[in-house]
Amino acid sequence: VACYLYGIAPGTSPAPDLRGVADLPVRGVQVDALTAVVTDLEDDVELDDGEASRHLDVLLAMLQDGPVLPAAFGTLAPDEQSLTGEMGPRAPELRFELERLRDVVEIDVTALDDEASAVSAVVSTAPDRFRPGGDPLLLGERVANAVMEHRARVADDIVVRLRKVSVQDAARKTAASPEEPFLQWAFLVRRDAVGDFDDAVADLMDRTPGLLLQSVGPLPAFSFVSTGAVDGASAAVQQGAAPASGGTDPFRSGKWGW
Amino acid sequence: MTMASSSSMNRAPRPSGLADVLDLVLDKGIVIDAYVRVALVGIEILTIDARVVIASVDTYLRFAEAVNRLDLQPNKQVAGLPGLMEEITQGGAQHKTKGALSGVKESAKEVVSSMRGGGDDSDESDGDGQRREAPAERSAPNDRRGNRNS
Repeated sequence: VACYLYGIAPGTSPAPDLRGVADLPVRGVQVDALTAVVTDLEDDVELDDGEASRHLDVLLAMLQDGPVLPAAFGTLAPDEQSLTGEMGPRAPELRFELERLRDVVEIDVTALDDEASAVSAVVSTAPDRFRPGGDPLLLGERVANAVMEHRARVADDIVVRLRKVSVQDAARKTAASPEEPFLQWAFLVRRDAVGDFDDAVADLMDRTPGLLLQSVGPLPAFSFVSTGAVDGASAAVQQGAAPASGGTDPFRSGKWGW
Repeated sequence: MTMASSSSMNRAPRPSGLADVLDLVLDKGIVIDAYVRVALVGIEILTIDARVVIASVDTYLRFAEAVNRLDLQPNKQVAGLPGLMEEITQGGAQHKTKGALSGVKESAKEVVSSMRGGGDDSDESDGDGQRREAPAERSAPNDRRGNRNS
């Protein structure tokens, strides 16, 4: 029976009392002072984005009880023995990671602004550069680039401020175009400082007209756990896809050759 | 260990959209060697990427328009013939942009449907809209064979 893995918690944590992927129950597997929370999958299951939600639900429930090392969505062991066999030797490392996350949670922050005020702020600094007329595409490009620079400065301010109420932070995504939120950043926040973090976010919005900050959390520390064998992960995702070009063997890292 | 917060602000307990959920759980998290990552198709991811790629022309025109609006108050004489001409060309360009946009959407759809069809490798070469997280096999491990780990 295959084991679908949600994440790993310290000690003998109880498995959350809810349904996981494929609407099946979840259970805990104890290994060496660690609990892996899994669902047994008898049959092949289609994993769509609804199942991604269930994956997250289980992790959020685990996070209520303490730290959790989240597994990437779609992580599956062939059976329970291979799960325990892999976790055993890595138990000290996993326990160390869990200890590091003991009192912290991830909060993701997304920053947007009111475009009209961004444009107005940019144009007012150098009106001659942004005189209308000529090719609207060229003008628009100049404005767009200036707006991106303006937003980068605002983003810096936000990160600097929120660093004071967090213990670690990491970029989640960099905006490639002005259509995307100009800041997508993850912060590791002490559980007892979540209120301070909220206050800092609210304060930033008060201080900066047109700025909208959306925060999501507390989340499992997805952005702050080591993904270990990165090759293995990205290669495995390719499984079933068109054969990888360029001679990289997508199957080389798995113990069972898949 | 619940986390009560004093401030009543707009922090959401979880990502709101499915695309945001996927964004969070798909690529990150611990990796254990024994595990296989189940392949899945992220339809939202494909459409989002396609949208970002073709956004720039639209974006530039919109920013140019925003500047024009800013300048309407100080010098109203802009609204003469040059201004009119500009509007016309802009309209034309926007029209073209929209055409390009729906074109991309369609090809993204084709990629998705050929992926969902599964099995054949026919879309190997036209991977423009694809990211590496979007492999061609949707169902959970067809390759999960008991005899592999005996």
